[in-house]
Amino acid sequence: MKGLWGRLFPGKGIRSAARRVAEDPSAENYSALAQESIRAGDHARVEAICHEALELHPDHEGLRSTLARAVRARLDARVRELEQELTEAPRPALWAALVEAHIEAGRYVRAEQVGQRWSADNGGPDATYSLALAAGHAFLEGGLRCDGERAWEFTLRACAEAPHEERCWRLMARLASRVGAFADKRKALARLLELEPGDRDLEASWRDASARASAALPFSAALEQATRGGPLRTANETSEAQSTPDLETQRLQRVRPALKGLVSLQGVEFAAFIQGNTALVQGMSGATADRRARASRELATASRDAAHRLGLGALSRVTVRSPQGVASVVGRHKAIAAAWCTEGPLPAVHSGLVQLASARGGVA
Amino acid sequence: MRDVLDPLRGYAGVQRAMVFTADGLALTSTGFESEAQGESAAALLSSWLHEVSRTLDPLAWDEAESLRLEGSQGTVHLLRAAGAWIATWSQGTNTDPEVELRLGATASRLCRQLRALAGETASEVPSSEVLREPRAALPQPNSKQLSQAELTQQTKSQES
Repeated sequence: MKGLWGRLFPGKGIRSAARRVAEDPSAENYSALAQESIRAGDHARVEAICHEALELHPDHEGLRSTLARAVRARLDARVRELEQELTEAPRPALWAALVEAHIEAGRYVRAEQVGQRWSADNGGPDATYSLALAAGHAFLEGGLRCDGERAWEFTLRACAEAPHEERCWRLMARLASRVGAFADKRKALARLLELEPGDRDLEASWRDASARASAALPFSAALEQATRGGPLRTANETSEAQSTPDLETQRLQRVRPALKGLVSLQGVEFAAFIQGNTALVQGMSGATADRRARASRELATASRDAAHRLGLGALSRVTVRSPQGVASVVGRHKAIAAAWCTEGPLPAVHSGLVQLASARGGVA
Repeated sequence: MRDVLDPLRGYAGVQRAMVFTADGLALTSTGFESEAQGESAAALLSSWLHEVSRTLDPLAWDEAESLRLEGSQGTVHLLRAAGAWIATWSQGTNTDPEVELRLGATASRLCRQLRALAGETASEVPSSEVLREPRAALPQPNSKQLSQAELTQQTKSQES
């Protein structure tokens, strides 16, 4: 009742803390606002505040721990609620939600125990999959051989019980990929392609697995080989795999402001960021922008080859001065940043290009 | 012609220098381990220049006047002068603007030498013809083209 009252009528503390955040969005003010929300019992609000604060202050340990506590509190509440509902009226959806809640909280043993209970309660293929999922997460997170063996056994059982379930084959492919059992991965991907024909990512993965399958060991042998020196080295692969696309997305979201910043500099008439087959441009539009972007890419490609052949190493930057202006292209890994100027590129343009090519955004 | 390049070497990290034509013929070089290495570098640079030129063509940009290619292990500066290209190699990333100034000075020296060479080899050519900047690395004694200054002078004399 107190929490509901607090949510409906936020106290003076929350209001003043929110005002302070609006005036000065510092990490300390965000922490104070989060603490006020914790006192009010609003865990969802605490998570939202922490996520917003961590976007501005990604390295703040206090905010991270507050977020972790809020997530843990929410999951504990969810588990209690699901356990209560299961005792009253057990249903497959409740079992699955309970397993997922334990996995999200990182309690893989508890998740597996719930899966065993569900399996004993005539859970069928879904229960087997939940067991495989719990053991699979334990293995992907901890890298222990015993977890890997159990996860593989459950996954094979889940695939046999539900051969039309795409998620079982995906888990199989993921586990096989983790230990380098590419023949098994290819088998799983082939089945997935039968279920989802034409999926480009799957096709690419299948080609990759096929190329490596000839020299690959079966899963059990590959697991033994991979864990011979202890738990698998890349123990946090799961969290990294989940966070990397997010980080990449966040970085790419900063490209547009950086492009605008570049074009706002004196003498810069066109700027482009190119990665893969995507070109983000600023300063020109239509066919002119297309031509400039294409020229930037071709310039970078030709210069990259030339730099290697001339013994200059990996391409850092190429600058071309012509009577019509100056083109400067910076290459970083897979990304290219280009600026086409009417006059000589200033140091600010150069540093902006380097930041843009690194997809960090902002112009110095 | 090699003395044209000597002042470039050792300045601001410049290790090697070369004069080559647009079609990849090395005219003179300094700092290379062998002549073949210089010729190979000239051919590679010529090929790269051709690709850059092909890239700029659709944009209606004229041929590049100067270029800088920076890699993780070295930097190449290029400057067009008298129909040829002067190139310098530096270790690491060399963004020293003085290198470009030195290249400009070298280009002027090269032009002076070529003019003098043209004067020696083509004594029949009028002095005004010899004094204008050559349009190619090698002298063109029978060229009938007039410089902008001469054209202006002729126009003024006709008007008077």
